[in-house]
Amino acid sequence: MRYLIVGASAAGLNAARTLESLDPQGEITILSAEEVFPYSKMSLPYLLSNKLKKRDYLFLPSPSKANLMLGQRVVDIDVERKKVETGQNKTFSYDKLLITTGAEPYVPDMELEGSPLVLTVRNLSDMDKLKDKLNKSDVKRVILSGAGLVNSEIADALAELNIPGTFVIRSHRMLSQIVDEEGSEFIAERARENGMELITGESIAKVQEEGDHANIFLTSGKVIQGSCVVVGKGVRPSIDFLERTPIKCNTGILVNEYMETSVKDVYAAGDVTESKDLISDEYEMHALWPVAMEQSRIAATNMVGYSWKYPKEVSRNIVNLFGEVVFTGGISKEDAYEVYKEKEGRSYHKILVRDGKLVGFIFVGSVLNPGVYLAAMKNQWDVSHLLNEAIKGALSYSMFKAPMREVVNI
Amino acid sequence: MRVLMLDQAKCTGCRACEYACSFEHTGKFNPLDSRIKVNEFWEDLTFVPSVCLQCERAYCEEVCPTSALTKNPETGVVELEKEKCIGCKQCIVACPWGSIKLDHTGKEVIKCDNCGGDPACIKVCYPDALSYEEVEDITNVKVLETATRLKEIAKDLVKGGA
Ligand SMILES: Cc1cc2nc3c(=O)[nH]c(=O)nc-3n(C[C@H](O)[C@H](O)[C@H](O)COP(=O)(O)OP(=O)(O)OC[C@H]3O[C@@H](n4cnc5c(N)ncnc54)[C@H](O)[C@@H]3O)c2cc1C
Ligand code: SF4
Repeated sequence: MRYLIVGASAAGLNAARTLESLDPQGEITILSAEEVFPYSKMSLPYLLSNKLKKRDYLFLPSPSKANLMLGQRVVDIDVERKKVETGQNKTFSYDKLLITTGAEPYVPDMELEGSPLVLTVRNLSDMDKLKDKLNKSDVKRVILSGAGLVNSEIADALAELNIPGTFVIRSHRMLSQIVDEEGSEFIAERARENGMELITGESIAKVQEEGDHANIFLTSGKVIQGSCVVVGKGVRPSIDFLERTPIKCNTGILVNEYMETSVKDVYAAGDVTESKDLISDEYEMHALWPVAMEQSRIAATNMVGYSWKYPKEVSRNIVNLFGEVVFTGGISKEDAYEVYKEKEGRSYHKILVRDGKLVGFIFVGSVLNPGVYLAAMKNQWDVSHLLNEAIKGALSYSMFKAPMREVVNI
Repeated sequence: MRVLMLDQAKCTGCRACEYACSFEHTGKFNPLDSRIKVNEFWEDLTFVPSVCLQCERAYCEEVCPTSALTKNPETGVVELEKEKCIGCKQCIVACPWGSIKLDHTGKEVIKCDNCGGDPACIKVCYPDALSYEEVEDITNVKVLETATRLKEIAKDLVKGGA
């Protein structure tokens, strides 16, 4: 069997590893648009903050048998003849194809795109550019356009380095995609304490180079200075090369419960996909590292010939921000169904319960067993008798007696 | 290969294992730093120790972005290499059982390493609820246990019960 994987990152390499173990005779080829050996994108903020002690630790485990081809960007797929074509004029045939091309940062303001002072952080080369700007600029402050997950992580890394930052936030608050207003305020407090400035209800109109720094013009007319602008306004799945194919896409590639696309023998996994969400029961992007791992394992297992069902997904995030652990899941940014909140000092806890089952939560500050919260939500275990423990962040696996005998979805 | 074995029926809930584990790894007696946990079910007066299962293909290992977690093929233990850990906590969310966790500071990741082949917990477990055994021996014991249970069921069936 010839397996072809397009995209060599979290999902692509994990799929290769699974294929290697399930079908030792299989012939596996992985194509990567990037020239560097595959690395962990989610560790990039830790490379900036030096929490990643050596640059080498960034690189993902090398596949033992698969043939990894760097610098091969796929430009088209012929699903009838089962061939892919790369921009480097090479064609590769397959029996089973897996698309793991991930996502790319989205820069909504066209004016900002293309300026050498405006960066996004997705690839290792982006991080190297940011470090270079920080080294060379006479102004150290970094202007962060948008306060989503990636920019908040960058800010956290800057704080570690004692470099000030300014968030320019159109939506009025930090992490508006995953926490509610109160949660945002808790995190914003910590951000301010750590040298971050927040300008809300504004966006960037123009960026102008001046000597060794940038002048940033805001829509209100205000001008601020910084070493560069980092745009963090979310990502879009990398699906341009599928335009001429019948593979069905919405924002991302639509996959069924076996991680197969609308075309037979073509699978997809990771940030490039949209899959069913357990809580909303609708197709959503779950652009997350652990989701890329799960989806790729299951896609690869099915490519070998098994029929593993991928359980419906839930959003979740765990991130270290300004000395606090922020853990969210499900419909965390809203107040819906039964809402329980608890605030104490620097910690903020919220759980959302629907028919006795967990459908969302926010923990800023301590939570004992995050994995158990995720398992309880994914498996929709009854928590109605455990609300007290749940809101305290104290749920543990042994509190759920019945599920011991069931298959646990992770 | 040897693994930690639990016999729940024998556990008295004394939690000496938790203290021994914490002391072995940190030099202090803090159950929050213990890799083994004794779950208490007061309504049934039962105690169930739980410990890392050292999964064959471990979710924590799969999700670790820096390969700080790897399975040692010889001992079967999923090992944590601290130097490589960036503290992202992905592993902790990935384990549905809560077997890899944070220490009492809420910052550092800790996980059972079978104390490098000489587990401290079993030494203080006087009722022998915990033991460290060769996988083959356990398989035999399990086969016998299951057969005994099936025998009881078979006996009931013969009597027309069950
Ligand atoms: C700075 C940063 C911080 C993050 N922090 C977190 C976090 O804390 N928690 C979390 O869960 N997630 C986090 N993420 C997201 C996480 O990194 C992604 O979910 C994960 O990388 C997705 O993996 P993937 O393999 O699906 O896609 P990607 O990692 O995006 O990889 C796709 C690969 O495919 C290649 N490719 C694209 N098009 C083609 C083509 N046509 N031909 C060949 N190759 C192609 C790309 O070059 C890329 O290397 C973070 C991401 C970033 C950038
Ligand atoms: S916290 Fe450390 S061990 Fe756990 S996944 Fe992150 S890097 Fe790996």
